[in-house]
Amino acid sequence: MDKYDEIISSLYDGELDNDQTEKAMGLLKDHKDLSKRVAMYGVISAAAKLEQANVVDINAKKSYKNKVLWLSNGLTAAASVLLTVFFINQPDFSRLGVDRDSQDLINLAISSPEAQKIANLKEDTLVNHVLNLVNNDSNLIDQQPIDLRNVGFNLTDKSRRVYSNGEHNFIMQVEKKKFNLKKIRYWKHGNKDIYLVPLKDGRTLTLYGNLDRSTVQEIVKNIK
Amino acid sequence: MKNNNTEDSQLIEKAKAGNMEALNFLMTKYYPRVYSSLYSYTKSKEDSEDLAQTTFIKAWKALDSFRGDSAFFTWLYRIAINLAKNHFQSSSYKKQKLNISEDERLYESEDPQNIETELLHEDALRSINKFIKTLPENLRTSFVLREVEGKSYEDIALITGTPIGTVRSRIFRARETILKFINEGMLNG
Repeated sequence: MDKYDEIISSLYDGELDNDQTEKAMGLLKDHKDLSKRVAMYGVISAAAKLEQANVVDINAKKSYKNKVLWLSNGLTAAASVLLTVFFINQPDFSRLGVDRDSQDLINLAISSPEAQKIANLKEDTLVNHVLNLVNNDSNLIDQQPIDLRNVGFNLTDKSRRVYSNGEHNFIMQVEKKKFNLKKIRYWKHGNKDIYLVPLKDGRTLTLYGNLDRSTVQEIVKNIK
Repeated sequence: MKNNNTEDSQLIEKAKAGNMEALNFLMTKYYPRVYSSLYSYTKSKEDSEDLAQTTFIKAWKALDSFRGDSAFFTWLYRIAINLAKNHFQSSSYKKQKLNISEDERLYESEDPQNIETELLHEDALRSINKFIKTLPENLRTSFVLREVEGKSYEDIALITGTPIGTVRSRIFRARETILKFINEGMLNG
Protein backbone atom coordinates (compact mmCIF):
# COMPACT_ATOMS: atom_id res chain seq x y z
CA MET A 1 0.00 0.00 0.00
CA ASP A 2 2.93 2.31 0.70
CA LYS A 3 3.84 2.10 -2.97
CA TYR A 4 0.36 3.30 -3.91
CA ASP A 5 0.63 6.10 -1.38
CA GLU A 6 3.91 7.25 -2.88
CA ILE A 7 2.33 7.30 -6.34
CA ILE A 8 -0.53 9.42 -4.98
CA SER A 9 2.01 11.76 -3.40
CA SER A 10 3.66 12.20 -6.80
CA LEU A 11 0.28 12.62 -8.50
CA TYR A 12 -0.55 15.29 -5.93
CA ASP A 13 2.59 17.14 -6.96
CA GLY A 14 1.84 16.75 -10.66
CA GLU A 15 5.03 14.77 -11.13
CA LEU A 16 3.68 11.77 -13.08
CA ASP A 17 3.69 11.42 -16.85
CA ASN A 18 0.48 10.78 -18.73
CA ASP A 19 0.55 6.99 -18.47
CA GLN A 20 1.44 7.07 -14.80
CA THR A 21 -1.33 9.61 -14.21
CA GLU A 22 -3.85 7.30 -15.87
CA LYS A 23 -2.70 4.42 -13.68
CA ALA A 24 -2.84 6.59 -10.57
CA MET A 25 -6.39 7.67 -11.44
CA GLY A 26 -7.27 4.00 -11.71
CA LEU A 27 -5.83 3.40 -8.25
CA LEU A 28 -7.94 6.20 -6.85
CA LYS A 29 -11.01 4.66 -8.40
CA ASP A 30 -10.25 1.21 -6.96
CA HIS A 31 -9.03 2.31 -3.54
CA LYS A 32 -11.40 4.87 -2.09
CA ASP A 33 -9.24 5.36 1.00
CA LEU A 34 -6.59 6.93 -1.23
CA SER A 35 -8.90 9.90 -1.80
CA LYS A 36 -8.87 10.45 1.94
CA ARG A 37 -5.10 10.63 1.72
CA VAL A 38 -5.33 13.30 -1.00
CA ALA A 39 -7.58 15.33 1.29
CA MET A 40 -5.07 15.01 4.12
CA TYR A 41 -2.25 16.06 1.81
CA GLY A 42 -4.37 19.13 1.11
CA VAL A 43 -4.58 19.86 4.82
CA ILE A 44 -0.80 19.51 5.09
CA SER A 45 -0.35 21.93 2.17
CA ALA A 46 -2.59 24.47 3.89
CA ALA A 47 -0.52 24.13 7.07
CA ALA A 48 2.81 24.31 5.25
CA LYS A 49 1.77 27.53 3.51
CA LEU A 50 0.63 29.27 6.68
CA GLU A 51 3.79 31.29 6.99
CA GLN A 52 3.66 32.62 3.47
CA ALA A 53 1.43 35.24 5.01
CA ASN A 54 4.07 37.80 5.86
CA VAL A 55 1.53 40.39 6.72
CA VAL A 56 0.79 41.19 10.31
CA ASP A 57 -2.09 42.77 12.09
CA ILE A 58 -1.55 46.45 12.68
CA ASN A 59 -2.88 46.02 16.19
CA ALA A 60 0.34 44.16 17.00
CA LYS A 61 2.42 47.11 15.96
CA LYS A 62 4.19 49.38 18.37
CA SER A 63 2.20 52.13 19.98
CA TYR A 64 3.13 55.74 19.81
CA LYS A 65 3.75 55.87 23.55
CA ASN A 66 7.22 56.73 24.75
CA LYS A 67 7.99 58.63 21.58
CA VAL A 68 10.03 61.70 22.21
CA LEU A 69 8.08 64.79 21.45
CA TRP A 70 9.87 66.39 18.59
CA LEU A 71 9.29 69.78 17.16
CA SER A 72 11.29 71.00 14.25
CA ASN A 73 12.76 74.46 14.45
CA GLY A 74 11.57 74.90 10.95
CA LEU A 75 8.07 73.98 11.86
CA THR A 76 6.46 77.30 11.31
CA ALA A 77 3.52 78.26 9.26
CA ALA A 78 5.84 79.83 6.73
CA ALA A 79 8.01 76.75 6.41
CA SER A 80 5.23 74.25 6.24
CA VAL A 81 4.41 72.78 2.90
CA LEU A 82 1.58 74.48 1.12
CA LEU A 83 -0.83 71.82 0.07
CA THR A 84 -4.07 72.22 -1.76
CA VAL A 85 -6.61 69.52 -1.38
CA PHE A 86 -8.29 68.67 -4.60
CA PHE A 87 -11.95 67.80 -4.19
CA ILE A 88 -13.52 66.20 -7.18
CA ASN A 89 -16.72 64.21 -6.92
CA GLN A 90 -16.39 64.54 -3.21
CA PRO A 91 -18.08 67.80 -2.36
CA ASP A 92 -19.51 66.59 0.90
CA PHE A 93 -16.81 65.09 3.04
CA SER A 94 -19.26 64.02 5.71
CA ARG A 95 -20.81 61.57 3.25
CA LEU A 96 -17.53 59.85 2.61
CA GLY A 97 -18.02 56.12 2.95
CA VAL A 98 -15.71 53.20 3.39
CA ASP A 99 -14.20 52.16 0.07
CA ARG A 100 -16.02 48.86 0.09
CA ASP A 101 -14.45 46.91 -2.76
CA SER A 102 -10.90 47.76 -1.82
CA GLN A 103 -11.77 47.35 1.85
CA ASP A 104 -12.79 43.77 1.26
CA LEU A 105 -9.72 43.10 -0.83
CA ILE A 106 -7.51 44.49 1.90
CA ASN A 107 -9.26 42.56 4.65
CA LEU A 108 -8.82 39.40 2.64
CA ALA A 109 -5.26 40.20 1.83
CA ILE A 110 -4.42 40.71 5.47
CA SER A 111 -5.81 37.32 6.37
CA SER A 112 -4.51 35.25 3.49
CA PRO A 113 -1.40 35.14 1.32
CA GLU A 114 -3.39 33.87 -1.63
CA ALA A 115 -5.83 36.70 -1.35
CA GLN A 116 -2.96 39.11 -1.07
CA LYS A 117 -1.77 38.02 -4.49
CA ILE A 118 -5.23 38.50 -5.92
CA ALA A 119 -5.62 41.87 -4.25
CA ASN A 120 -2.31 42.98 -5.64
CA LEU A 121 -3.52 42.16 -9.11
CA LYS A 122 -6.82 43.89 -8.66
CA GLU A 123 -5.85 47.41 -7.68
CA ASP A 124 -2.17 47.13 -7.95
CA THR A 125 -0.54 50.28 -6.61
CA LEU A 126 -3.39 51.39 -4.40
CA VAL A 127 -3.87 48.15 -2.53
CA ASN A 128 -0.13 47.66 -2.25
CA HIS A 129 0.20 51.10 -0.75
CA VAL A 130 -2.47 50.41 1.85
CA LEU A 131 -1.00 47.01 2.67
CA ASN A 132 2.41 48.57 3.12
CA LEU A 133 0.93 51.08 5.52
CA VAL A 134 -0.85 48.36 7.45
CA ASN A 135 2.35 46.36 7.63
CA ASN A 136 4.40 49.41 8.54
CA ASP A 137 6.57 48.72 5.49
CA SER A 138 5.93 52.03 3.85
CA ASN A 139 9.06 53.82 2.71
CA LEU A 140 9.91 56.78 4.85
CA ILE A 141 9.58 59.85 2.80
CA ASP A 142 11.87 62.75 3.35
CA GLN A 143 9.35 65.52 3.37
CA GLN A 144 8.98 68.96 4.75
CA PRO A 145 6.86 68.83 7.88
CA ILE A 146 3.29 69.99 7.61
CA ASP A 147 2.21 72.30 10.37
CA LEU A 148 -0.92 71.06 12.09
CA ARG A 149 -0.49 72.90 15.36
CA ASN A 150 -3.48 75.12 14.73
CA VAL A 151 -5.66 72.01 14.72
CA GLY A 152 -3.96 70.70 17.84
CA PHE A 153 -1.52 68.17 16.42
CA ASN A 154 2.22 68.05 16.94
CA LEU A 155 4.85 65.97 15.22
CA THR A 156 6.04 63.26 17.55
CA ASP A 157 9.00 61.71 15.79
CA LYS A 158 11.95 62.49 13.62
CA SER A 159 10.50 60.84 10.57
CA ARG A 160 8.36 63.96 10.27
CA ARG A 161 5.21 62.05 9.65
CA VAL A 162 3.76 60.90 12.99
CA TYR A 163 1.35 63.34 14.59
CA SER A 164 -0.48 63.27 17.88
CA ASN A 165 -2.78 65.42 19.97
CA GLY A 166 -2.67 62.99 22.87
CA GLU A 167 -5.91 61.35 21.86
CA HIS A 168 -5.50 60.76 18.15
CA ASN A 169 -2.27 59.47 16.63
CA PHE A 170 -1.69 59.23 12.94
CA ILE A 171 0.82 59.16 10.14
CA MET A 172 0.56 61.79 7.44
CA GLN A 173 2.73 61.93 4.38
CA VAL A 174 2.70 63.12 0.81
CA GLU A 175 3.27 60.23 -1.55
CA LYS A 176 5.78 60.32 -4.34
CA LYS A 177 3.87 57.68 -6.21
CA LYS A 178 1.06 58.84 -8.49
CA PHE A 179 -2.25 57.23 -7.69
CA ASN A 180 -4.33 59.36 -10.06
CA LEU A 181 -7.09 59.66 -7.53
CA LYS A 182 -10.18 61.61 -8.44
CA LYS A 183 -11.70 61.52 -5.00
CA ILE A 184 -10.79 60.77 -1.44
CA ARG A 185 -10.49 57.06 -0.73
CA TYR A 186 -11.10 55.67 2.73
CA TRP A 187 -10.54 52.28 4.36
CA LYS A 188 -10.74 50.83 7.83
CA HIS A 189 -8.54 48.28 9.48
CA GLY A 190 -9.23 47.39 13.10
CA ASN A 191 -9.54 50.63 15.01
CA LYS A 192 -7.50 52.56 12.47
CA ASP A 193 -8.48 54.39 9.34
CA ILE A 194 -6.64 55.06 6.12
CA TYR A 195 -7.43 58.10 4.02
CA LEU A 196 -5.90 58.91 0.66
CA VAL A 197 -6.55 62.50 -0.31
CA PRO A 198 -5.80 63.79 -3.82
CA LEU A 199 -3.87 67.06 -3.97
CA LYS A 200 -4.17 69.65 -6.66
CA ASP A 201 -0.71 68.97 -8.04
CA GLY A 202 -1.60 65.33 -8.65
CA ARG A 203 0.14 64.00 -5.58
CA THR A 204 -1.64 62.11 -2.84
CA LEU A 205 -1.78 62.73 0.88
CA THR A 206 -1.96 59.69 3.13
CA LEU A 207 -3.42 59.81 6.63
CA TYR A 208 -3.35 56.64 8.69
CA GLY A 209 -4.24 56.17 12.32
CA ASN A 210 -7.04 56.35 14.82
CA LEU A 211 -8.75 59.27 13.18
CA ASP A 212 -12.43 59.95 12.90
CA ARG A 213 -13.76 61.66 9.84
CA SER A 214 -14.47 64.98 11.53
CA THR A 215 -10.84 65.16 12.63
CA VAL A 216 -9.67 64.33 9.13
CA GLN A 217 -12.01 66.96 7.75
CA GLU A 218 -10.49 69.51 10.10
CA ILE A 219 -6.95 68.54 9.12
CA VAL A 220 -7.73 68.58 5.44
CA LYS A 221 -9.37 72.01 5.69
CA ASN A 222 -6.33 73.28 7.51
CA ILE A 223 -3.88 72.29 4.83
CA LYS A 224 -6.11 73.45 2.01
CA MET B 1 11.10 24.04 -14.42
CA LYS B 2 7.66 22.84 -13.55
CA ASN B 3 5.64 25.59 -11.95
CA ASN B 4 2.19 25.76 -10.45
CA ASN B 5 0.66 26.53 -13.83
CA THR B 6 1.75 23.19 -15.25
CA GLU B 7 1.55 21.19 -12.04
CA ASP B 8 -2.10 20.36 -12.61
CA SER B 9 -2.24 20.72 -16.37
CA GLN B 10 -2.68 17.01 -17.12
CA LEU B 11 -5.49 16.62 -14.64
CA ILE B 12 -7.15 19.83 -15.78
CA GLU B 13 -7.14 18.65 -19.37
CA LYS B 14 -8.61 15.33 -18.31
CA ALA B 15 -11.25 17.09 -16.22
CA LYS B 16 -12.11 19.34 -19.16
CA ALA B 17 -12.57 16.21 -21.25
CA GLY B 18 -15.13 14.97 -18.73
CA ASN B 19 -12.94 12.73 -16.58
CA MET B 20 -14.72 12.92 -13.23
CA GLU B 21 -11.91 11.17 -11.37
CA ALA B 22 -9.54 13.93 -12.41
CA LEU B 23 -12.05 16.58 -11.42
CA ASN B 24 -12.62 14.94 -8.04
CA PHE B 25 -8.90 14.73 -7.47
CA LEU B 26 -8.43 18.45 -8.14
CA MET B 27 -11.33 19.38 -5.89
CA THR B 28 -10.10 17.11 -3.11
CA LYS B 29 -6.60 18.50 -3.46
CA TYR B 30 -7.62 22.14 -3.27
CA TYR B 31 -10.64 22.03 -0.97
CA PRO B 32 -8.55 22.36 2.21
CA ARG B 33 -6.73 25.47 0.99
CA VAL B 34 -9.86 27.11 -0.36
CA TYR B 35 -11.78 26.30 2.81
CA SER B 36 -8.95 27.41 5.07
CA SER B 37 -8.59 30.74 3.28
CA LEU B 38 -12.34 31.34 3.35
CA TYR B 39 -12.45 30.46 7.02
CA SER B 40 -9.72 32.96 7.82
CA TYR B 41 -12.00 35.59 6.31
CA THR B 42 -15.45 34.51 7.44
CA LYS B 43 -14.50 32.90 10.77
CA SER B 44 -17.53 30.75 10.19
CA LYS B 45 -17.37 27.04 9.54
CA GLU B 46 -20.81 27.02 7.98
CA ASP B 47 -20.16 29.97 5.64
CA SER B 48 -16.76 28.62 4.64
CA GLU B 49 -18.19 25.22 3.80
CA ASP B 50 -21.03 26.71 1.77
CA LEU B 51 -18.74 29.12 -0.04
CA ALA B 52 -16.11 26.45 -0.73
CA GLN B 53 -18.76 24.14 -2.13
CA THR B 54 -20.17 26.90 -4.33
CA THR B 55 -16.64 27.77 -5.44
CA PHE B 56 -16.07 24.26 -6.74
CA ILE B 57 -19.45 24.09 -8.45
CA LYS B 58 -18.71 27.37 -10.22
CA ALA B 59 -15.20 26.20 -11.05
CA TRP B 60 -16.55 22.97 -12.51
CA LYS B 61 -19.04 24.86 -14.69
CA ALA B 62 -16.40 27.34 -15.83
CA LEU B 63 -13.53 24.90 -16.20
CA ASP B 64 -13.41 25.33 -19.97
CA SER B 65 -12.63 29.00 -19.47
CA PHE B 66 -9.51 28.20 -17.43
CA ARG B 67 -6.65 28.82 -19.82
CA GLY B 68 -3.77 28.16 -17.48
CA ASP B 69 -2.54 31.77 -17.42
CA SER B 70 -2.37 31.52 -13.65
CA ALA B 71 -2.01 28.64 -11.25
CA PHE B 72 -5.17 26.60 -10.88
CA PHE B 73 -5.38 27.51 -7.22
CA THR B 74 -5.14 31.23 -8.00
CA TRP B 75 -8.06 30.81 -10.38
CA LEU B 76 -10.05 28.91 -7.78
CA TYR B 77 -9.24 31.49 -5.18
CA ARG B 78 -10.41 34.32 -7.38
CA ILE B 79 -13.78 32.60 -7.65
CA ALA B 80 -13.86 32.06 -3.89
CA ILE B 81 -13.05 35.70 -3.15
CA ASN B 82 -15.74 37.00 -5.45
CA LEU B 83 -18.27 34.65 -3.95
CA ALA B 84 -17.30 35.66 -0.44
CA LYS B 85 -17.53 39.34 -1.30
CA ASN B 86 -20.90 38.94 -3.00
CA HIS B 87 -22.19 36.82 -0.17
CA PHE B 88 -21.36 39.42 2.43
CA GLN B 89 -22.28 42.43 0.39
CA SER B 90 -25.63 41.19 -0.73
CA SER B 91 -27.27 40.88 2.64
CA SER B 92 -27.53 42.44 6.04
CA TYR B 93 -26.21 39.10 7.24
CA LYS B 94 -22.78 40.49 6.44
CA LYS B 95 -22.72 42.96 9.28
CA GLN B 96 -24.06 40.47 11.76
CA LYS B 97 -21.43 37.96 10.76
CA LEU B 98 -18.47 40.33 10.72
CA ASN B 99 -19.42 41.66 14.11
CA ILE B 100 -19.94 38.25 15.64
CA SER B 101 -18.18 37.88 18.96
CA GLU B 102 -15.16 35.64 19.44
CA ASP B 103 -17.16 33.40 21.81
CA GLU B 104 -19.80 32.87 19.18
CA ARG B 105 -17.15 32.04 16.60
CA LEU B 106 -15.68 29.40 18.87
CA TYR B 107 -19.09 27.96 19.47
CA GLU B 108 -19.81 27.94 15.77
CA SER B 109 -16.61 26.11 14.95
CA GLU B 110 -17.53 23.15 17.10
CA ASP B 111 -19.08 19.94 15.83
CA PRO B 112 -17.02 19.47 12.69
CA GLN B 113 -18.46 17.17 10.08
CA ASN B 114 -15.17 15.55 9.19
CA ILE B 115 -11.58 15.35 10.27
CA GLU B 116 -10.25 17.51 7.45
CA THR B 117 -12.55 20.36 8.37
CA GLU B 118 -11.56 20.11 12.00
CA LEU B 119 -7.91 20.25 11.04
CA LEU B 120 -8.40 23.31 8.90
CA HIS B 121 -8.87 25.71 11.75
CA GLU B 122 -5.99 27.91 12.64
CA ASP B 123 -4.77 26.29 15.84
CA ALA B 124 -4.61 22.87 14.22
CA LEU B 125 -2.85 24.22 11.15
CA ARG B 126 -0.33 26.00 13.36
CA SER B 127 0.37 22.79 15.26
CA ILE B 128 1.02 20.97 11.99
CA ASN B 129 3.15 23.85 10.75
CA LYS B 130 5.17 23.70 13.97
CA PHE B 131 5.63 19.99 13.58
CA ILE B 132 6.91 20.44 10.01
CA LYS B 133 9.79 22.44 11.46
CA THR B 134 10.82 19.44 13.52
CA LEU B 135 11.11 17.07 10.56
CA PRO B 136 14.57 15.63 9.89
CA GLU B 137 16.55 18.13 7.85
CA ASN B 138 16.70 16.09 4.64
CA LEU B 139 12.95 15.47 4.63
CA ARG B 140 12.14 19.03 5.64
CA THR B 141 14.28 20.60 2.92
CA SER B 142 12.70 18.64 0.09
CA PHE B 143 9.22 19.04 1.52
CA VAL B 144 9.50 22.81 2.05
CA LEU B 145 11.04 23.34 -1.38
CA ARG B 146 8.07 21.52 -2.85
CA GLU B 147 5.18 22.77 -0.72
CA VAL B 148 6.26 26.28 0.16
CA GLU B 149 8.55 27.23 -2.71
CA GLY B 150 6.59 25.29 -5.33
CA LYS B 151 9.71 23.73 -6.85
CA SER B 152 9.50 20.72 -9.13
CA TYR B 153 11.15 17.45 -8.17
CA GLU B 154 13.75 18.12 -10.86
CA ASP B 155 14.64 21.50 -9.39
CA ILE B 156 14.76 20.09 -5.87
CA ALA B 157 17.09 17.36 -7.10
CA LEU B 158 19.40 20.01 -8.56
CA ILE B 159 19.26 22.17 -5.44
CA THR B 160 19.89 19.33 -3.01
CA GLY B 161 22.22 17.34 -5.24
CA THR B 162 20.19 14.16 -4.92
CA PRO B 163 18.52 11.90 -7.50
CA ILE B 164 14.88 12.64 -8.38
CA GLY B 165 13.85 9.28 -6.94
CA THR B 166 15.28 10.30 -3.59
CA VAL B 167 13.45 13.62 -3.72
CA ARG B 168 10.20 11.81 -4.51
CA SER B 169 10.76 9.44 -1.63
CA ARG B 170 11.71 12.19 0.84
CA ILE B 171 8.64 14.26 0.07
CA PHE B 172 6.45 11.20 0.46
CA ARG B 173 8.14 10.26 3.75
CA ALA B 174 7.76 13.81 5.02
CA ARG B 175 4.03 13.64 4.29
CA GLU B 176 3.75 10.25 5.97
CA THR B 177 5.56 11.54 9.06
CA ILE B 178 3.22 14.53 9.24
CA LEU B 179 0.18 12.30 8.78
CA LYS B 180 1.42 10.10 11.60
CA PHE B 181 1.74 13.17 13.81
CA ILE B 182 -1.80 14.24 12.91
CA ASN B 183 -3.27 10.79 13.53
CA GLU B 184 -1.40 10.03 16.71
CA GLY B 185 -0.53 13.41 18.13
CA MET B 186 -3.58 15.47 17.26
CA LEU B 187 -6.59 13.33 16.56
CA ASN B 188 -5.92 10.77 19.28
CA GLY B 189 -3.94 13.01 21.55
